Amino acid sequence: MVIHMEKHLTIKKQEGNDLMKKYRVVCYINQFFGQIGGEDMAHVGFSVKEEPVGPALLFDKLLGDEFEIVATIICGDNYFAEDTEKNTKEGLEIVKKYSPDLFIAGPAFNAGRYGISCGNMSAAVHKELDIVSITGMYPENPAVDIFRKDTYIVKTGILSSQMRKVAPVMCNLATRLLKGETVKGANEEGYIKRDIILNEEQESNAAHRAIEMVLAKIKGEEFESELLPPVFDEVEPAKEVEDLSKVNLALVTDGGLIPESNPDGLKPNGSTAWGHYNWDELMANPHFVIHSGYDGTSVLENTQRLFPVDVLREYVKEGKIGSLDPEVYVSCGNCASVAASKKKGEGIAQALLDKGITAAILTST
Amino acid sequence: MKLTVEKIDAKDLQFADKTYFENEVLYVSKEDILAFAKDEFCFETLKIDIARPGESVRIINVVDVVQPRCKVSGSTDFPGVLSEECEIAGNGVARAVTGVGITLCQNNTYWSRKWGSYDMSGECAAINPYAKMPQLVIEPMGVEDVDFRDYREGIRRIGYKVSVMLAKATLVEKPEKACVLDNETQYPDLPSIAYSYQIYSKQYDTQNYREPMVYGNAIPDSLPLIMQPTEVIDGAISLCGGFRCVTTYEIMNHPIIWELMERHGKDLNFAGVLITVTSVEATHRALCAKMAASLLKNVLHADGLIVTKGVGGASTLCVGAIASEAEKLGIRSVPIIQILNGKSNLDVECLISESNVDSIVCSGTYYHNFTLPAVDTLLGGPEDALYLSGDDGVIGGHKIATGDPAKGVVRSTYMKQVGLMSQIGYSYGKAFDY
Repeated sequence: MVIHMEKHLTIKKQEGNDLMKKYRVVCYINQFFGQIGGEDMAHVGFSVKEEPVGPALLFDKLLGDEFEIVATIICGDNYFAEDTEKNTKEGLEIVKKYSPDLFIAGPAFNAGRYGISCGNMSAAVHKELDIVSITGMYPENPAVDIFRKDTYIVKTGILSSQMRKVAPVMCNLATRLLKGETVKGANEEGYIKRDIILNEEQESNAAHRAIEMVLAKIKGEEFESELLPPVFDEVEPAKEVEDLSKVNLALVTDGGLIPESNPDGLKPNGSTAWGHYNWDELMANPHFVIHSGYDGTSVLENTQRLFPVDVLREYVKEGKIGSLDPEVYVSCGNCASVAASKKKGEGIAQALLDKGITAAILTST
Repeated sequence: MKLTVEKIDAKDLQFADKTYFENEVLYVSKEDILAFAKDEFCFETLKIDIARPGESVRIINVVDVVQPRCKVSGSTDFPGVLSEECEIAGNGVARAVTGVGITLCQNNTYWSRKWGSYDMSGECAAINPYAKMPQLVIEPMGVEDVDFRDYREGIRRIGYKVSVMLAKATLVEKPEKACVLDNETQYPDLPSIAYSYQIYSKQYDTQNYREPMVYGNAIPDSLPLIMQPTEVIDGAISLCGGFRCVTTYEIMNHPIIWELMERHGKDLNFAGVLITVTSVEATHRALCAKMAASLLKNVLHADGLIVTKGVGGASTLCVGAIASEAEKLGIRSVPIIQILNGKSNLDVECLISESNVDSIVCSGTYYHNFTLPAVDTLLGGPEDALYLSGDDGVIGGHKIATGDPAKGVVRSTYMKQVGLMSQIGYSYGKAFDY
């Protein structure tokens, strides 16, 4: 089974003769690869050279006569990172002007900010301009997880010394994407998986594969499982609270109840941010439920349903509980990856520890 | 038990005034088939067509594909389904006709059994075994307000009766080959493999319809049963309509049972077959898994196990539990499972969570999608039938509110193409990250 590009980008023939028009290619690189300068020049904004520059020279050579690099867009890492949304738009406008058939960003290897700009540009060019785009990154580059579904990210090594190794892979894949030719799975092609699962027909049926696998396992021979159970963390439960009357208690939720201004930038789903808000201020000012995975109406009707502050304050008054932190801790748990949730949890736990909180109630939705 | 399956190949199907076999062509009399419908009170009549490989034909509302097959000696045909008395199947001689199939369609009533379709030409046909053989397509025209349970069982009987009739027509000629499937001798020195076959789940049955799965009997909450491998392929086990992604054709030619039988005594020992159903609650699941493992170890003395499932998540949990319990008793276990999602990655889509189940075959994702072109001829439903172009993800597949004209361009999932995805290992697909 193969991907057949639904939109075949065909070579437009020049009118009146049979000469093929060349595919137009735009490359995107940072100030370093653009030979403007190093970290000291990371603040420079967009510039364009209507020729291949830096890695684009290598792409030009590898892509051959069918392709023409019509522009190399260069932008400083810091400049881009300061406002990725605005700068992606600015970059897109430049790309549009050159109406390319193919867009190549980076590769960014393991560079964090460069990864962000390459990812943003490559994803936006594909999504908004419907142009074939490709970039390259080290699998652990933080930008990979953000953009891998929206563009093709070819796996690279950590350092730019790997350029000559990865450039041919990028060019080969880009060429086939552009021509609507067969593109196979992520491992076989060397790109980072885009969260698409497809079937490929095998030499033997599943029954035969299973029989061979079980025989190999019995004999202690090597075999490759076609799928493996997920690996779960063993979470050791916290010790129980010995004396409630001495406890410093905090409330934590993944229910997404936040100030209307959303000062911490939580997202309705896949949120990686969390915030802490003074309860009385939160209640006194406009607030809402940002979580899009449940209907927040019943929480907004009575916010004590999410945070039982009223009851707990009574308990504090009665001496049943030592104290209740005036702030509540809020994250948004919708469509959260385990990795992102772990990170949020660690952040919240550290903040509570720093404040001398000794116990917490976690309310979910 | 010992079963001999004679095989004879038919190159084509053609309509004729009578049903007979000549020069590798199976001639079929519509009247003979219509006579079967007379016994079924819920059918007005049957619409009968032939679809051939390469034709611009889409067959919709497919509920089953059956191979022409009859018994020559030994037990009766489809005991318990086509007969009241239940002879134990799996012995004697059976006649199988290769190269042609019988496709049964269900053009009304219960929606969840209407998922299947397939095209006789194009991208999917190229990888579909059923599209590579002439098919006798039978579409029962139900009387008004027919009860879907009667209708469904009526179709089952019609399909099996036609299967027997067509195979019998070939008996005038000698078979091309005879496969002897014999496990009467056990070979304890060879690696001993058992097969655990989940045949049914009540989660897809509604309105107290309990599909008759074993010799015409419903076994909704059954604990594991031991059956002979030849019984399974000789008419004892019916197709579970709710499971989809498996056909009677595949059960008759069950790829795990056939291969284990053919290798029995050569490089392995076929220890036997366990029949299980999907448990719909946890305590039943845990008990079934432990009982299955105990039977495998103490009765079948298995060293290895292959486990297959029906459609869905609960079924996967059950085969995971059986494999895990078997592994605990030292039985090396390989479940065959599928991916229930298309927009994800394989690292997070294995529904088996027991870490000791580390040898799994994945026969693909249900949600590999195809765009299929318009066709000249639509079979299995009315000309203006809608196609449930449910696309990505589990929920989309269940939507029935909207549809595209089935004769036009449609979106189909891998699981909806009958023949592409087989729960019991008949298909060749495997899932990959893209």
